[in-house]
Amino acid sequence: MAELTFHDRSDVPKWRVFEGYEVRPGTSTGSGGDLVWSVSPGEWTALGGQPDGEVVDLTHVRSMFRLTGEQAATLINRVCALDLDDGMFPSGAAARTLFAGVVTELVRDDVDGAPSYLILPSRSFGTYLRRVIEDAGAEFQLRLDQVR
Amino acid sequence: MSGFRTPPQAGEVIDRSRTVDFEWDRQSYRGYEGDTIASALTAQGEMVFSRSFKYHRPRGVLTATYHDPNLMVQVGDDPNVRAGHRRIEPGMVVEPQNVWPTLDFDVKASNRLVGRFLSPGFYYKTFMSPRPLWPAYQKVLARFAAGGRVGPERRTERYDHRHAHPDVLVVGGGPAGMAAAIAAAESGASVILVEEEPYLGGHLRYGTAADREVCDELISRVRSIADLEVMTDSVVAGRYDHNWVAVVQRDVSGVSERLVKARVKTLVVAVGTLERPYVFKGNDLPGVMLSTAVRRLITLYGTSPGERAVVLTANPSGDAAVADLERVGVAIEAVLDARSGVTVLEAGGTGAVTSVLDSRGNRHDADLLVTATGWTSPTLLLNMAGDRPRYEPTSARFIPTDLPDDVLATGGIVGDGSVDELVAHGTATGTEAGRRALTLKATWQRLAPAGRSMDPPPQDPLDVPSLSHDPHPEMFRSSTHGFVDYSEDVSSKDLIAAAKEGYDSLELAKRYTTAGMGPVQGKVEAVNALAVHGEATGASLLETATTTWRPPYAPVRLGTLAGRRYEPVRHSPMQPWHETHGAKPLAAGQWIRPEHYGDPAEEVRAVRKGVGIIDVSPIGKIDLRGGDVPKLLEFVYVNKWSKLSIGKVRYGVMCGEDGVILDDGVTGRLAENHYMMSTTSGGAGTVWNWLDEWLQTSFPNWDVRVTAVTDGYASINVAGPRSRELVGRLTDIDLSPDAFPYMEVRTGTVADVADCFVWRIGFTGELSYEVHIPAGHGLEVWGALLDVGADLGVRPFGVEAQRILRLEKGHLIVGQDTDGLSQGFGMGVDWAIKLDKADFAGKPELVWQGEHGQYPHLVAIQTSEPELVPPEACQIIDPDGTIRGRITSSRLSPTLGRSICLGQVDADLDRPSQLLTIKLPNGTTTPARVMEHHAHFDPEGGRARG
Repeated sequence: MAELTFHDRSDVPKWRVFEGYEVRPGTSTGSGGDLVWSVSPGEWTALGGQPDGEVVDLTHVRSMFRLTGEQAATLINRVCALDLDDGMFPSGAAARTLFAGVVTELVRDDVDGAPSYLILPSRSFGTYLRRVIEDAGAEFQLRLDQVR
Repeated sequence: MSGFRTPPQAGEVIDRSRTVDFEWDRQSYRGYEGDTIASALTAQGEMVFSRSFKYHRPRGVLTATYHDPNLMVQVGDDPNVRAGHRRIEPGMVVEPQNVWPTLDFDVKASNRLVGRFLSPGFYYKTFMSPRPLWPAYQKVLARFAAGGRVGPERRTERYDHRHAHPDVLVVGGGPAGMAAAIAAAESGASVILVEEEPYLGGHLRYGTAADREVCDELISRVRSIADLEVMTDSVVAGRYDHNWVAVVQRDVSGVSERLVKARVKTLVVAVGTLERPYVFKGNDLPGVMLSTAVRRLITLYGTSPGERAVVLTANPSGDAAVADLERVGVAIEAVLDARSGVTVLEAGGTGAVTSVLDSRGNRHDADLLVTATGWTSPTLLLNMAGDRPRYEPTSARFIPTDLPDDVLATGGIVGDGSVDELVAHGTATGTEAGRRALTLKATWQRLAPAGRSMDPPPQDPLDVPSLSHDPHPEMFRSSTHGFVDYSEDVSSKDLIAAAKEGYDSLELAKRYTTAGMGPVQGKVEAVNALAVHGEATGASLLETATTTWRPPYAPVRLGTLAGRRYEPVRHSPMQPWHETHGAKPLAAGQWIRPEHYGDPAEEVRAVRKGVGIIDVSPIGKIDLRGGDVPKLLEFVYVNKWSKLSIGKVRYGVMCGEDGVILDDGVTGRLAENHYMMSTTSGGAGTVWNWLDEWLQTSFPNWDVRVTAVTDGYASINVAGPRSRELVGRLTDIDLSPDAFPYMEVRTGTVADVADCFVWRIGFTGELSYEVHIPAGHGLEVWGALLDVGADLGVRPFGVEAQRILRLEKGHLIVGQDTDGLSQGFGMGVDWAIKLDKADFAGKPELVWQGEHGQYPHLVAIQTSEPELVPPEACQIIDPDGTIRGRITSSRLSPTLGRSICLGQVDADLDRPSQLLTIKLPNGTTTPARVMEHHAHFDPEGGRARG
């Protein structure tokens, strides 16, 4: 079983965009650094270079963690009630949800066939959520050496 | 001393090569790995495990399961441990509970002598008057209360939670449950199988060699399926709406108990049946036990509970118990076959069974009386799903009737059959459960925004074969009286007496006698209670029906419900600095903020004389874009907003529709269609919701985009006469008073960090600049300010110093100086309320308030004694004691060297120099007077504008 890994990707530029995408709420398009998703009507979040038009820079507003591995969904379900079944929440799915009591956006963006999730809390909850993931992940021998 | 260890048994779950030493009632005992506390002690001849709740009668093994009412013990610091379920461990310290001074000699057993006075309702009737004596009664009665003890030490066990979304969840790992789980998994469903015992198999475990062969085969099939998760030593505590199923899982290493919150598409209930005790004289004596208890003890644990047995049997389980007893060399003194009409009248003995009197008048010497008189269907989960099980007299038990589509039942709870028939029924039920679950799954995936499309399974329901019901005599009570509820010490006489007293409704009788209200919650005693009550009232079981079963099925620890202690906290980007520089943490809502760094008064003086910096990152920041933002501001604030030019900021107050002050803050215009709104730290979420609610419900066509960006900026207020000098050293923004006047905003670079915005405002009354830095750079800018300002004497200040500074200036804090009744007028912001605006949130109420008058006024107050700081919430009173107001904020001002306050007072007291009387917590009063301005210091505000 592939090991579970955790990376802090908070530095990746993130933008709130208000028009110009076809991506429906609850879904995403693209992957990795050029991901775009929506969790509510009329609002999109885009990663990477600054999109055209009116944008709000969310880079510093949100932390962004990437959790990858076969056990990632099991770990997330320790603290999040969302149904992460492959059929319900496959790569390309996005949601706004509660994660250990904190409102976060959750985007599934598989890496090389391994389940991978982006977890985006408000930045001030970042330290707290990292501790929660570390605590809940102890059972899965979660590697935290790449955590800043 | 009559129990003994038998020769090895074919199906035993103990490992005789590994001994386990433990302690019971301060004596050393030895058992084998796999023994329960009850089996290990029984094997060594122990018969008494507890004293009963009311009469302190000695009690022994009854069911030998988790649900045995007589087997509650204390293990270390853990009370109410089920000795029929908990495995022994090396060094385990087990003690009896509810005994005093010892298990063998219990003083309170004298209750037995006065038992005839302890009738139902005894406590209610006796201790209800005179009422003032209740506390005294309570102290004495508390000594008689049942249950174990919990030590005062902090407990260290780990409890956690897990959410699961299996397609099918099967409750019960007997033959039907295992077959159902296998079939559901083979149909393509994801399955969780939950079993209460630490091993799968159910009654096959203590059945015949052929039963065990089937059992082993089913287990190996279960274990070979990847998408079938097995939870043993786990229990389904309840089934709630939409198949929300709570599983208490105890087989996770490192976790005491885990609460699995399962959202299940189809629930399969395969919980089997529970054996029912028989009511007769002496039926609670140690040595009287159920056939399944004896069969478990012998076959699973190699333990015989006695040497000379009488068996009362009405079914094959009793017959099997006879065979088991004979196999291990127990003398069978008599087999009383209830199917031929004979029964038991009395178990004789004191402290344990010594003889048995049958209905033919024969008395048999025996140390063990085994009863096999019928089965109770534990229909709790079905009841919770809305089913009303029906009583069937020919088989003397309840059977399910109408189940919702998402709940199925299989196995013994449905009916009887050979092992093959039970497996076939389980298989068909599991296949149908899988079909229904996958049908639902296909629908859900179609509706999920990113769900994968899947082919639904066949539409036609599978025809599940029915199970028959073996005939069984109705046996509840003999012609003598005995105990019905062992947990609560309720006898059949008590139930009949209650009926005679007029409690002819079972619901009332239950509450009056407490039958069914003990830890076992009806699983052992409910049907007998129904029967005896029916006997007394002349109603049949059918008419009286069952009482309502409620969750949980088994007790759940509070720690399990609580889970891990995940309490969200928020930190500013500067938190690492605060932690290493002696900041005293203050929990302000979810935020952890520095209250001070050692000496708040010194921090105040630094701000007034030189310069200080405070981390105000929690201040709410809301990014507003669009051409209609002025309309939104005009609507949510009580003051006017139409002509705010670029670069300006304005203070505003928001009221709810009740006219009560909701929040305050400043909003600045950064560009043509770009505004930044600030809110109080605690009000950020509320205001964001408030704006969104109005935009979504009333003004959906307005051109406004709202984005909460509080966490995107580290916010530092640089305050004090030398703040211009300090900030000037780090920014490219022209800070000269003409270029950047009070109440304006600029964007630029601070300490080489781009995209900052700075507004010239502050809460302290000093010249100050509020610097907002992209959060990732907050820590470096904070450090830079302290470095370059060292020669200016810059020092950090905390929330406490800021509270003092703002109180000196008379600035109110929404929620502290105002409350849930503080409408706009009277709180010192009257000047802002513009009733001539066409409309704004709260206007109708404010119009009414303005016309009505007579609202409390917020005023600055100073005590006559300058050293005396009346605590916040002290009342302001008239000489006759009438309350006329209260202190809302109070501090000793380091700047003025005296006590200063804000307070709410009745309107007629709002006059400069008005004398007030403040009542102090010690009951004395102190004089004070109302001040002319809210500001105790610099009322003209020249310092901030400089």
